[in-house]
Amino acid sequence: MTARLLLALALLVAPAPAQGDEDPVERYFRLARTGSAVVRPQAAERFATLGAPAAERALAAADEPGGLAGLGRELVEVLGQLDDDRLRARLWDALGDPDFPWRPAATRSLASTVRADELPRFVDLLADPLAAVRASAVGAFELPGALDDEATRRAVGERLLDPDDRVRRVTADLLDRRGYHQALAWLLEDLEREDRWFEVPSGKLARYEVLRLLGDRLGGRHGYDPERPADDPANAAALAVLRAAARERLGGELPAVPPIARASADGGDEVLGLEIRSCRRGEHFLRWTADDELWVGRGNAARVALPDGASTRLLERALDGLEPLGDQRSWGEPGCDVEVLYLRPPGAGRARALRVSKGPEAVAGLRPEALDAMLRELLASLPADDAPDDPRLADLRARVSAALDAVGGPLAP
Amino acid sequence: MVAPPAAVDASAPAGARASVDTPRGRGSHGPVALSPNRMHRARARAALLLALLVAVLAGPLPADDDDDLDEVSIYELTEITWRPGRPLPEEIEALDGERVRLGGFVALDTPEGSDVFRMINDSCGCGGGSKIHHFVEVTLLDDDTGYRPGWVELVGTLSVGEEHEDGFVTSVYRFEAEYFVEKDDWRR
Repeated sequence: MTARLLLALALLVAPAPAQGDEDPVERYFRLARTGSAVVRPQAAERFATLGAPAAERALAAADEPGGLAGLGRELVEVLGQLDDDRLRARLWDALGDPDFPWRPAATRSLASTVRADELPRFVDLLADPLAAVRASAVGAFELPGALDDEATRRAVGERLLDPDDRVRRVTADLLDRRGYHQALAWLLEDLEREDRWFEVPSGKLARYEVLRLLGDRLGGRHGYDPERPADDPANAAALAVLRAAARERLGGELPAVPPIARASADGGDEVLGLEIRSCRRGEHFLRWTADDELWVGRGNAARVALPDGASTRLLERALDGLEPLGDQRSWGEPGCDVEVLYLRPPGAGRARALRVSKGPEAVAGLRPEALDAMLRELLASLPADDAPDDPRLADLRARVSAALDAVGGPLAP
Repeated sequence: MVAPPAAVDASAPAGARASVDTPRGRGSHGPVALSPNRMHRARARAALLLALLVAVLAGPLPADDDDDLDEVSIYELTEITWRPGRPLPEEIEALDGERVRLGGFVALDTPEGSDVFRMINDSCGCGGGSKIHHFVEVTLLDDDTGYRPGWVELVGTLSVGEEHEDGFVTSVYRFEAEYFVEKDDWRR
């Protein structure tokens, strides 16, 4: 007992290992790779301020077996700040590899430190299969003069038709700040969104993001409250003022936004949903509604009529087929590859979510057979048209199948 | 071929062209002294547990009253523009110490069975989640997370303001959660 007491006292009075003894490059490198989730980005930012020694450390680590991917997302995201040609070359090489797990971070890393001669490569990234890469690539065109070239301007402007609302928003924000004020119409439209993804108020999130992007550009919020719906009298009045301010900024009438960007109030009728986020094969958001429609995407979703009773049949198959899984709701380890099946039978207070997830490495046998069988049925209900009117539906079944392959593994035949 | 939008037609635009090393969670802290903030949390937890005990002994908890609690939007908290050392917006500061309902997602990297987790505003953390003001650090006073992949709601007390550890900001928002607001998710 006495010995334990003495040991405890010794531990209390002994000097703690001085963090100052560790070389800052090594300390921040270590913490940026293995620190807690909240420390890693801060450590990475500090690492990026350390100049040439930090660049050499990153290059040495990139030559290890894990390669650039082994540095982790947070370090990849700041490597561009080190202004080292060799690291930039490594980042571009990584972006050319569809299996590199941190492509969005690599894009942000390069875009935030873009060089004029790299702009054509960023134009290519605007058409990347990953929405997060496209959104990050838009940032490269912040470079003064980047939009002077008409073809480049057109390529950036086409992102206003992007199927992903985040890409449309950052594009509209950039264009407005660069003097193309027609793009304000896209931002103001988002202030009218009421859509939901099951319980998630996705429209409200869009409203908040737009207000953050706009800042004081239109003279403030004018009383608009994103917590309240757009048709709330105070919000409707505020929107009228915001629109007038936008017209004044533009010097004319705002254009009508295309259907893909129009505000909607979709949500509430879903009984089944499938959310796939593959860090290699992109994202898919699919819902099957009680009145037999398939909704593809978020916001103003593309709609496909399903045969009568299709949703109910699929839901019943899911409820029966997934019963053997019991209360287990998750398989695998956290990572950037995620597939989530949502079930919300009529009368349920909220959706039940069953999640399969993993990191960069393929994991054999990850998805349980019961879930595999259900996903096969959902996949079979998707259109396989290769030239539909709405680009969100093009080759939908094949694209969703590829994304599922990349996350939980190939579906059994 | 997608037609270029009007906003970027060839016509000229209007205007100018112008313990820090390990993930947090139960069992991850090791035999270190509690930081002042953790001691504060521990004291608050003990006080709340005592209050709950007294309330239980005194009679049934007025759980229905919690339906009337103000809801704080995780979007309101996480969609601010903030930099370390800078003040938070006044309306956010005003929430400090308030007992409220809060909804969001349990961050994907939460160890199962943890009593501390980051609450974020999307299911994957794609919208951020690792920046300090993009999450609320939730401490479950009498529960653990179990596995909750969907949207969750909690009742508890919100604290607002920077916390530091080993030279890093570790949180801006903290929430001492009394309980999950449970709703049926499965009916036949």
